[in-house]
Amino acid sequence: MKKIRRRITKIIFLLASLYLFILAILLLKEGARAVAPFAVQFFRVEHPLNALGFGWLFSYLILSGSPVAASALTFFDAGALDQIQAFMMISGSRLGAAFIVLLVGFLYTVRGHERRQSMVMGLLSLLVTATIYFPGLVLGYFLLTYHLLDFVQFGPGTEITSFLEQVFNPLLEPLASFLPAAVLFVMGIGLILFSLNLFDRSLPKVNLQRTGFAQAAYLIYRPVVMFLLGLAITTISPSVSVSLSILVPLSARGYVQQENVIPYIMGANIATLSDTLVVAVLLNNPPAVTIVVVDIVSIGLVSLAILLFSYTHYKRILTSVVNAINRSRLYLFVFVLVSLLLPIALLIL
Amino acid sequence: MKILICTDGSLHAEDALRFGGFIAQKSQDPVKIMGVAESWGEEEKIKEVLSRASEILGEVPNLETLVRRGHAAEEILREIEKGDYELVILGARGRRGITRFLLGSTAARIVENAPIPVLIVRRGRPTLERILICTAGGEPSELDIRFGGRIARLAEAPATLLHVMSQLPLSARSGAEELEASFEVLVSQGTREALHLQSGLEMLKEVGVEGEARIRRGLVVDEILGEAQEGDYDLIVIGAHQASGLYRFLLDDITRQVVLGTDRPVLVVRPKD
Repeated sequence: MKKIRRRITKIIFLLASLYLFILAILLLKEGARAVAPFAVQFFRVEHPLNALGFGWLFSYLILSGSPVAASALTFFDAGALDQIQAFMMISGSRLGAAFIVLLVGFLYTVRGHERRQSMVMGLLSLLVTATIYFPGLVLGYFLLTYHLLDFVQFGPGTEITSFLEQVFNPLLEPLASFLPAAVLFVMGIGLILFSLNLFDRSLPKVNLQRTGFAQAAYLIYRPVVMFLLGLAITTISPSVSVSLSILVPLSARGYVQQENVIPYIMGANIATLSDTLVVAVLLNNPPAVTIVVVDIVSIGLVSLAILLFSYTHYKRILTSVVNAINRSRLYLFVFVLVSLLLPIALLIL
Repeated sequence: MKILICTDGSLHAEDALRFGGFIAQKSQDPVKIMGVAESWGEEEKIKEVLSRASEILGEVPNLETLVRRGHAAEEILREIEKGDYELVILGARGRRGITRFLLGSTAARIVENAPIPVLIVRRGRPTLERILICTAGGEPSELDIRFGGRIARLAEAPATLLHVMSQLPLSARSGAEELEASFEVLVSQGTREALHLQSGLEMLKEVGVEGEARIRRGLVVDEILGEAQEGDYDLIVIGAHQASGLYRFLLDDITRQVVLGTDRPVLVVRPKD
C-alpha cells in the first residue's frame, strides 16, 4: 500500500513538474519582452564575450544554469540578443552551473568537512566543463556564423501549440495583465528551479549499501560507456549536480571509480542541455532550436574528440591539476578567485 | 611448473630466455623452448636460434626444443593448448617492426588469449630482486598473489602487495574518510581493503615469502606504474582481464594498459580453465 502511495506521489510530482516547467517558460517568454532589452542595455551585453560573462554570472546569482539558459533563449526570442550572443550566454550558464558544484564543496569545507573530499568533484566538474566548453565555443561560433546547422530547425507543431494555449492561457493571460513583466520573469525563473527540483523528486532513488568490494573492485568501465551513462542519466535528470550525486552510492559500493568520472561529466554536460532544447521547442522559435543544437553538437564533438584520441593524457593532466589545486590552499583560493573574476571581466570587456 | 619459452632470436627474446632460465634453474622444472618459422626456408635459422637459446638457458633439467611453421602467435597458442604448461615466457617485442613502439603483436595476442599465466620480459631488468603484486580483491586476486608468491619464493625476493583505491571522494557526505587513511589505519578500522591485503600477506607467508602491503589512491593504471617506478621493482604481477560477453565491451582492460605502459617485466596471471 505504501509502495503504491509512493508511486502515485511520484507520478503527481512528475506531472506537476512538467506543467510548472511549461508554465515557467511561458512566463519567462512573456516577461522577457520587457525585461530583456533593459537587462541587455543595463549590463551592456554588446558582443559575444559579454554574453558569455553575463550567462556565467547570472547562473552564479541564482545558483543554477538551466533557468539562465532558458532566459538566454527568451532574450533571443524577444530580439534582445542575436543567435551568437544567445549561444554564448547558454554556454556561460553551463560554466556557471559547473562552478556551483565546486561552491557546494567549498561551503562544506567552510563548515569544517575534510577539504580534499569536498572539493574533488567540484574541481573536476568545473575543469572538465571549462576544457570542453572553451574549444566548443569556438566550434559553435563557427557553426553559427557559417549557418552550417541552420537546417536543424523544428517546433512543437500547431496541434501541440494550440493544446498548450488552451491549457495555459486561462492562467497566463490574467497573470500577464495584472503583474508587471519583471515579476513574470522572476516568477518564471523561480518556477523553472522549482519544477526541475520536483522533477528530480519524481525519479526513483538510488540507495545502495556499502558492500560488494570483492566482486566490484575491478570495475573500471571504458570511457565511452561512462560517457553514454552520463548522457543517459542526465537526460532523465537534467541537473548535472543531481546526476553526479547518483555516483556517490555507486562509488561507495565500488561500482564507479575515479577513472569513470571524467567521461561521465562529459556526457552529463551534453545531456544537461536537453531541458534547454525543450525550452527552445516550447518557444516555437526554430532558430532558437538551432542555437541549442549547435551547442550540443559542438560540445559533443569536442568531448568525442578527446575521448577517442587523447583521453589518457587528458585524464592524467586533469587529475594532476585537480590534485595540485586541492593540495594547496593558495592554489585553491586563486582558482576560486579566477572563477569568480573571469565572468566579471568578460562582462565588462 | 612446466615452462614454455618462446624465442625468435631477438634481444627481448634473449632476455626472456635468461629470465626463464633463472626460474627453471631455481624450480628445476622442465622447459621447452619454441621457435616458429613464419616463412619458407626459415626453419634452419630458427634451429640456430634454438641452439643459441639452449646455450643462454644454461643448466636446465628436461630441456626440449620445438620448431613449428606458421603464424607465431597462433602456433604458440596451439602449443599452449596442447602441452601441460603452467607458464609461458616471451619477450615484449620480436623482430618484426609493426608494433615495436609498444608491445609486439605476438606478445599482445598471447597475453590476450593464452589460458595460462604469461610472463612478458623487457630488456634491462636482468635480476629479480623486488616483486610487485597488484591486487584488486576477490578470488581471482588470490590466484595472482599465490602465483606471484611462487615466483617470489623461487627468486628468494620480497613481494609487495599493492591495492589501488580508486573510489571517488565525491563529497564530504559520502562517508569516505578511509579513502585518505594509511594501510595501518585501515587495518585498525578493519576495512575490506585492509582485510584483503592482510589475507594476501598471510598467503605469502605460507609460501615463505616476506611481504609488505601498500595502498595507493588515484587512477589505477597510473598508480600501479608509479609504484613500479618508485619502488624500482623487477617484476609486476597482475591478473588478466577476465571480462566476457557484454562486459568485454563495457569494461576497460587495465592489465593491457599496465603491460603497455611499463618498462618492466609483467607476469599476467590467468586461471587455467
